[in-house]
Amino acid sequence: MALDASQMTRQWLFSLQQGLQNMVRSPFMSLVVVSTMTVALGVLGFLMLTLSDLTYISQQMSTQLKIVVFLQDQQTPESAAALIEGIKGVKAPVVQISKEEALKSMTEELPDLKKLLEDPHTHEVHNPFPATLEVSLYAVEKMAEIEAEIKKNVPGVEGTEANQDLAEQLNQIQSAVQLVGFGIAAILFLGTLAIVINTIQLAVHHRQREIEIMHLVGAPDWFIRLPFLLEGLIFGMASGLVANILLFFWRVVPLEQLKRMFTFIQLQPGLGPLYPISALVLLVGLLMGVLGSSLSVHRYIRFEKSAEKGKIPV
Amino acid sequence: MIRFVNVSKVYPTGNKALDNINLEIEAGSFTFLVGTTGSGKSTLIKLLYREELASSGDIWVFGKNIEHLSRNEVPTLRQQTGVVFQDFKLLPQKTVAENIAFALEILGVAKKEQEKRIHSVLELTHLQAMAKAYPRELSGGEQQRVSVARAIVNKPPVLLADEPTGNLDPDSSWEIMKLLTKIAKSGTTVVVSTHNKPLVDLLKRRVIKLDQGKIVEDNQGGGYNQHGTRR
Ligand SMILES: Nc1ncnc2c1ncn2[C@@H]1O[C@H](COP(=O)(O)OP(=O)(O)OP(=O)(O)O)[C@@H](O)[C@H]1O
Ligand SMILES: [Mg+2]
Repeated sequence: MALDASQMTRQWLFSLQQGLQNMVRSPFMSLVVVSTMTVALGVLGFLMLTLSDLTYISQQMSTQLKIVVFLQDQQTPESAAALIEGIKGVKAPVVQISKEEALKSMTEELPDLKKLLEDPHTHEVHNPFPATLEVSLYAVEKMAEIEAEIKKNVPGVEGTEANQDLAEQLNQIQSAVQLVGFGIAAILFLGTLAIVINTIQLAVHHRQREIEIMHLVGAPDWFIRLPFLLEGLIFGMASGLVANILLFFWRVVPLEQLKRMFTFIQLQPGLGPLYPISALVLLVGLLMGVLGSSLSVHRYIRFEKSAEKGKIPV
Repeated sequence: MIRFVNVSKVYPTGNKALDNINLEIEAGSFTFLVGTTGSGKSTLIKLLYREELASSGDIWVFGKNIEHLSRNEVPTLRQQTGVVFQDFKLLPQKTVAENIAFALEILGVAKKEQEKRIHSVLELTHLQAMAKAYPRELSGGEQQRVSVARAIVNKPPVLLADEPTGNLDPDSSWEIMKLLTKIAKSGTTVVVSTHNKPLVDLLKRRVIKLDQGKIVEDNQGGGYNQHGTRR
C-alpha cells in the first residue's frame, strides 16, 4: 500500500483535526493543563524578572560608590586626575572639585561659614578645604586595591575615603540573590515539569480508549502521537502567552506603583529585560508542552506494547 | 490462508495459554473457536493481530510470517485484519459514520471514497438510518453492527471476532452471526470465538475446540461436544 502525497496530507490533516477536537471536547482537562503550565511559567518569569531587577538595583547602588581623594594644596587636581585615570579599573573621567569649588559649595550650604573664615582685617577668605577627586570604579570589589594604589603612586595625596564595607556587602547580596534565585528557579522548573508531565499524562490516560482503538485499526505510531504533540504545542503556547501577559501587566502596573512608593526601587529603563524573558518563557512553555506530551504518549504506547516482552528469543 | 506451526504461548506470568498449536484455516472460510474459559481462544486471536507474540512457533497469514514483522509493519497487518470484541470499542463522542470512518481516516482515504465505502457497509449492516446517531443512542446489537462495519470497511482479507455476542441478547446474537457468515461468503476469512453453543450448532461451520491451550476437537461440519462449556 504505497502512500501518495495527498494521502499523506489527508492523514496529517485528520490527525491535527483530532488533536484540536480533543482539546475542545475535554475543556476541563485542557484548562487544568494550561493553568498548571501558566502558573509554572509565570513564576519562572517572575523570578527571572525580579532577579534581573535586583541585580540592576545593586549594580546601580554600587556605581554610586566612589573613592574620594583629598589632595594636598601643592598638587593640582588635573595632574592627579590624569594619573588616577591611568590606573586599571578606574572609570574615567575622574570628577575634579577644586579648592575654590569646595569652598563655594560649602559656603552656599552654610552662609555663616564665610564670616568665620574671613580675616576681619584684610577681608581675605582663608580656604581650609582641600581639592578633591571623585573616583568611580568599574568593579566595586577592587575598591580597596585601587585605593591603596592611589595612596602609593599618586603624589600629593592627603588622604582617601571609601565606603568599602558597603561595597562588599552589596557585592555579597548580589551574588546571594543570584545563587538563591537560580536555585529556586531550577527546583521550580523541575517540579513543574513533573507536574506538567503528570497532568498531560492524565489527559492521555483520559483518551486511552481512543489510543487503543487507533492501535487496533492499524494507525501508525506517528499518527497516534501527532494529535498529542500538537496539543502539547498549543498548551505550551497558550500558557506561555498567558504567563507573558501576566508578566507584562505586573511590570507595567503594580511594579511601577511600587517604584513610586519606595524610592529605593530602581527599575531598568523602559520594559527592561521583559522581551528576552518573555521569549524565554514562551520557549520553555513550548518545550514543556512538547516534552510533556511526547513523554506521556511514549510511555503509554510502550505500555500498550509491553505484551511483546513475553517473546522468548528462539 | 492462515497457518499455525508449533505455536506455543507462555505469558510472562508463567501461564501457558497455548500449547503447540498446529492449524490451517482456508482463505474465505468461516471458523468457530470454542472451549471453556481460559482455554486460550482470546490468546489465539491476539496472536493473529499481533497484540501478543508467540513464545515459540510460526504464524503465517497470507504468505507472511507475522511473528517476524517489525514494529513498523504491525500497523499494516492490522489494517488488513478487522477485529471485533465483546465490548464494541466504539468512540462515544463520534457518530456511527465517524466511528466507521476512523478506520479509513488513518489510511488517508479521500472523503468521496470514504462516503462510498461507508454507505456500502451501512447498507450491509442495516445501519443506514443511524449514520448520524451516537453509540449511546444505539442498542447493544446495533453497536456491535457498527463495530463490524468499522472492521470491514477497509475490506480486510481477515476478520477476527472475540466473543462478539458475549453482551447480546439471543436475537441480536443471531443477527450478528448471520452478518459474520455473510461477510465470509464475500471472500473474507472469518474467525469467531464464542461460548454460544446453540448458534454454533445451528450454523454448521467448522468448529475448533480448545482445552488448556490444546486443540481437542476440529469438526469441519459444525457442532461440538458440549461437555465442559459454559452454555
Ligand atoms: N495478559 C495475560 N497475562 C497472563 N496470563 C494471561 C494473560 N491473558 C490470558 N492469560 C491466561 O492465559 C490463559 C488463556 O486465556 P485466554 O484469555 O486466551 O482464554 P479464553 O479462552 O479467551 O477464555 P474466556 O472464554 O474466558 O475469554 C488463561 O489461563 C489466562 O489466565
Ligand atoms: Mg477470551
